[in-house]
Amino acid sequence: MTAQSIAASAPQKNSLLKVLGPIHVWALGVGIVLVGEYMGWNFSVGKGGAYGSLIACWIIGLLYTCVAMIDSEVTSTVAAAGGQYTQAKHIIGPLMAFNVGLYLVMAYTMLEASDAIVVGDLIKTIALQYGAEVDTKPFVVLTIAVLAWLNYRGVFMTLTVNFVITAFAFVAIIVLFFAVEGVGTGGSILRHRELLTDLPYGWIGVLAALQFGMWYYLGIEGTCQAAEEVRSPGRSIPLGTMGGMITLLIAATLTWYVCAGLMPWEYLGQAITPLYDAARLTGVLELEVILFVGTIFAAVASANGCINDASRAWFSMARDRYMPQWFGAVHPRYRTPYRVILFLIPIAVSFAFTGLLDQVITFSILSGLLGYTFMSFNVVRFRRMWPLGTINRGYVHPFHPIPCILLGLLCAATYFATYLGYGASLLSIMAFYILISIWFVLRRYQFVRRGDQFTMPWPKPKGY
Amino acid sequence: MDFWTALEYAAWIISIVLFAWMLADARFTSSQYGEDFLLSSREGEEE
Repeated sequence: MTAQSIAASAPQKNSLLKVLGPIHVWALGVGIVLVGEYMGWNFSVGKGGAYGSLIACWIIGLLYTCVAMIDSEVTSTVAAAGGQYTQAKHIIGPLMAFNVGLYLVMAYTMLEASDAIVVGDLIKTIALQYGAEVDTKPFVVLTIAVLAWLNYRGVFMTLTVNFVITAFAFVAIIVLFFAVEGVGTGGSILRHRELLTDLPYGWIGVLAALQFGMWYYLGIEGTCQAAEEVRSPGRSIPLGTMGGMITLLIAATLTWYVCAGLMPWEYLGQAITPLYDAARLTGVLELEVILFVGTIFAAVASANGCINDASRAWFSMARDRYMPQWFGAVHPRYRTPYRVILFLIPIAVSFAFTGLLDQVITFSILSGLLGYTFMSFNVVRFRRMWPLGTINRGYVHPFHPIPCILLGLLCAATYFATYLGYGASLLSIMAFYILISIWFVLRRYQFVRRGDQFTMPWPKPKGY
Repeated sequence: MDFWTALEYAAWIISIVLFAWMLADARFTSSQYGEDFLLSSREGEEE
């Protein structure tokens, strides 16, 4: 086919494809997060003991429930790729939008790099069990390459694959729970009575545990990046997000219950793969295999969802020229932001090659936390400018303004917790975002399409 | 060459093939369609 005939037969407009349903939204949100149940959450046990970790799980669960409720309401009205970036653009202003867009890209790209590091480390562990030593780099690159290729080829297949592997990883946790409880086989092997202790470092330990408590849920807000590609955003986004949050609360509680009943807190607090370790302690080979596959699947699903979300955030910024417009291209056949997907590959690979898992994930967590802080005042302004009844909302979150006040307070507590463990990282990340904001105001803002930014068919805001 | 070394080589080769395919496809797409069409997606517009 010649270039002329392709151009003649092509439609006039090129856009992302609306093909997703609630299960894809669920797969995107839970897929990104579930790896946190397989590893990472347990560092909160090292900070605050087993009970401290459980308290952190519930407190941070409350933080994320507020995030999910607030996000569902705003996204059900701002149905565009870019999620919180687009919300910030419509509700707060350009500088906030630029920062929120960057939080999203950084949070997801760093998380993707961390997931790839984890996959490489898991393969290295298996090789060591067979007496071989392997380099993790080819497996890190392979993970990113395969997932980037999948994302490049279309969102429907990407998130369908994510649904299957995420569901497997979730079911694996439930299977482990029933097995250790002795359902169908006899007695429970859990030893909570002997293993659970008082808070080893008191309440300051519980506060410090909040930072790692975020691993239970980090990334669930990524569901709204799919808003432009779901068939019915007003229905699918709240359904997928709230369903995802319920799934994660169940998975987090079961994970804590199983691991705290099998391992002493001193060990659990520094284990690399606590759920896999729990399966090994049962001595059942089938469980060991299921949980190993579950761990790999959870890491892969997370990286897959992260590529999807980071690319949509960058793509949306490029469409408004917050970033070079060249990145705003959509593939005419696969209907994906293919240039951004390609562009983010070397960035993710570079961060993954550092191998600094804790530093990379801290950057991701803090970028996410900055985004949640934004949400707490964003929704106040949203309700003030467009009160209930003035625009059509697919979902209205209850008890306003309690969730946003609670969210603001819990974010402040988590900043303090992060400062206790990673003070230097916190300050350097803040400095990074301040410097990049100065660059945006002085250099980049002149290219922004100011007149075209407001795209929602809403009435004039109250007071304007 | 043992199994694990072969696996490492296979991982490198598959990765390079996938990257090359994506780059070639992106280049081909840019050559077949005009920039105006590729960049015609607008936020909030229905198909």
